Amino acid sequence: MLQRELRKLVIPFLGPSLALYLVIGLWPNLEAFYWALTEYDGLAPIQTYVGLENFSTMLADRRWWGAVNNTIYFAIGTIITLLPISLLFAILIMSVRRGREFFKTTIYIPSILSVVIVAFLWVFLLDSTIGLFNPALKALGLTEPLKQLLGVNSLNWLGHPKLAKPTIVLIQLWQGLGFYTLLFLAGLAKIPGELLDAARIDGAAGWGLFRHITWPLLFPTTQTVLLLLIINGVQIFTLVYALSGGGISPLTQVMATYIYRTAFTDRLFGYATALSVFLMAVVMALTIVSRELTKREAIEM
Amino acid sequence: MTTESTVTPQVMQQQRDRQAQQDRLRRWLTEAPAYALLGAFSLSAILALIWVLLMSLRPVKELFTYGAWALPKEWTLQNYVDAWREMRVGQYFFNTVLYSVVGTVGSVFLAACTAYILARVKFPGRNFIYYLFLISLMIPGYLAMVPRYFLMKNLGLVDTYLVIFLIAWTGGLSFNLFLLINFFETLPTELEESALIDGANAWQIFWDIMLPLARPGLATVAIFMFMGQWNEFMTPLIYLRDASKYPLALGLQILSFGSTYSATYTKLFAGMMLFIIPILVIYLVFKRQITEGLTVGALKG
Repeated sequence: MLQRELRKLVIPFLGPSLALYLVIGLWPNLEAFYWALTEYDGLAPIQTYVGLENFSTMLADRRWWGAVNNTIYFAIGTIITLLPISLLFAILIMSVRRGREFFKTTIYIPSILSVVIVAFLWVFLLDSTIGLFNPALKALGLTEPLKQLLGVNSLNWLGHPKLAKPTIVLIQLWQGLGFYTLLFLAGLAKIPGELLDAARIDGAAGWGLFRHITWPLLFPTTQTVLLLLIINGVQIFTLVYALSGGGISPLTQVMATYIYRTAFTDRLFGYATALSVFLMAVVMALTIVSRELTKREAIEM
Repeated sequence: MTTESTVTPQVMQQQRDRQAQQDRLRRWLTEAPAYALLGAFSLSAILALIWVLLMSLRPVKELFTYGAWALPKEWTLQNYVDAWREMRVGQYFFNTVLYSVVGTVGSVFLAACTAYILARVKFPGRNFIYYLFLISLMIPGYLAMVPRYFLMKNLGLVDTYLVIFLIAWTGGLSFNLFLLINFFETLPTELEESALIDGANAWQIFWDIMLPLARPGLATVAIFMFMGQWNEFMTPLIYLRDASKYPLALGLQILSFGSTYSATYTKLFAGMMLFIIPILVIYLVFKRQITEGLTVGALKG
């Protein structure tokens, strides 16, 4: 009875969303595999089929591989900083007696801000004349020692070849820390308190407690965090685009910005789509590999 | 018993006091580094916002005479007035509100209807359609970038408000469905049945009975959609040409790097404040839903 009445809604409710989803959401993804085999400048009536030519162009495209390199740098740099630090912050927040809510609230603020704002903020903070950072270093007499330590002739954080990439990693760390800390906090909250109490009675404390109880039980969360970091890391776009004001230099160019530029500035739409097919393959491969690797590790525990 | 009788109550009290004092000291010593680290990061988030606020409230000439560390000597709201009028920030602001509100309302409604059907109505092909919707959770967004752009171009939708709405409605659909289907599945069927017996039709069962019950799930989806739309950068970057249609994210990004005149710095900070305040208010008001929803959201990975 109920089902027969509710079935009246199937067409009016499912129709519009399914139609929108198929046409705008799904279909262009399938079309992309054909586009990747064509050449198109956006002006000619139709694309020209060129077979696998775009992919052989890609193999020889030095600027593309530079972008791939930078992407790997950012992804790995973000993983090795964000993962341990957000885990540490989650544990610290659990361990303090006062101000837990305050820390949870403020730590997430950078994550709710638009990436454009964050980029903007850091460009100004790191500006040599009106920023806060360099004048402070100068006042503290740290400018020269820091230059020597880093082996650079100016503290041009976002422009110097040696400094630009680590600076971007640090900005990503600042923005992402709250998000991943909250994920780890949710994971920690799922660990039963009795289990930790029992371990403490058995004499486990500090590092031992973490190593043998918390870490293995937190592993599913760590797996999720790692996967998110990989997927988001490989697809980084807005931060790099906004930090360079859209005029991306080879110094910080990443896969996504290069694809965007190839399509909408150079108007090589077929080639850009071939590059995005490659990007998709990378994301899928990394997802599978990281799942498999962490699965094995989880069993060993 | 014998030892206790030889110790006077005062001595016991003293010992207990000393013990408590030592405990407090030890606890403080172990917690101090935690407070220092968490405090430093929280402070960086708060100070960043305060800095933007202070910069937006001072005349631009002060910036170059006193530097960024000095507090404003003269307070002014002129930057806001100028940014709003001269720099089109007012227009960007209204556009952002429009995209966020229409984008959110449309996508939540669409997802709610679709989720209800897929969760509560049995019909042939239901599972197939369910998995069809989930496919795009696994595809990186860049794959369809070029084909989708030309689809919109051929439909004459490039540089219209509608294209931003359409992409908002379909973009989050799979993910919102995933959350809402799980939510609808937890609701009891008795309510639908008794409503049917009371003479309600299918639409009334959905609109009057089930939708109000799903409010917590819908609220979470709506908050995340709104925040995502407010900060959305890539869709307007690809699809909009006419600056009068830009949202704040794109408008401010172009303003900040487009203008080489340092005289506009403080106005830009005023624009940034207008971009930050609404999202900050939403965050502080809906903090609980956001932190809880985020955990559910991350499970999709």
